Amino acid sequence: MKIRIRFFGIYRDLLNTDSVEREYPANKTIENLFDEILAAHPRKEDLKKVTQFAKNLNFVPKDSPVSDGDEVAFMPPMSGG
Amino acid sequence: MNRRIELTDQPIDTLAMEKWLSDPSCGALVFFRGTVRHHHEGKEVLALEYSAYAEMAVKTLQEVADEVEKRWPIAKLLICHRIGKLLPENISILIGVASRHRTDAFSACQYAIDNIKERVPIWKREQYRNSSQWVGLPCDSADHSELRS
Repeated sequence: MKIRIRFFGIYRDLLNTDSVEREYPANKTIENLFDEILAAHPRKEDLKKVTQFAKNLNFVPKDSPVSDGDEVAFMPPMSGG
Repeated sequence: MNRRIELTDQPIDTLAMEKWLSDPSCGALVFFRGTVRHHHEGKEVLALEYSAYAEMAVKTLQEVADEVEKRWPIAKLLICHRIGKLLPENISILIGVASRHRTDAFSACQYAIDNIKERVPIWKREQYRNSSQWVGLPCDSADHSELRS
């Protein structure tokens, strides 16, 4: 399944891009994607704790499954206003 | 309730916004104007860079507006958030509420800014003389090593 993942805030710095499109096998969750993409980061678990996730413009928990064509977002703590 | 929800990369025209918000049936107009401060935690702020997940930010702003509409008898609600690079004293956000009476206007405006700050996918990075920092990110959550995606 083809998934688009968008990065915001600190993730743009860490990953040096604002989005990627990747092919994944079936039965993946957003957390699976996060763990793979951030695998090399020493503070991956700390980051995960403060991150919110979105799927197709809706806030979802990290154990939310992904489907072909989904757009997922990794969102660090918000600071608008 | 009439609403005007905008995400813009242009300076916010406060006079035009106030003109839109004015309503002869409303005795109360309340504004919240957020501006970039010169200093933060003792450091001189040179600029703030705002970025957004635009589609979701607008959607969430509309949801906040829906909630305001359900809770208070407001005639008009304005939310305008600027993104991009802002300098000290630039306006980052303007919220305006017009209602018959001031109590509803104050409460609705407070609700709007509190929820926008907490829920809307917008981020700001503060630029100092020799460094920059994402606001709201616990310092020990990340170093700035570059990873290949």
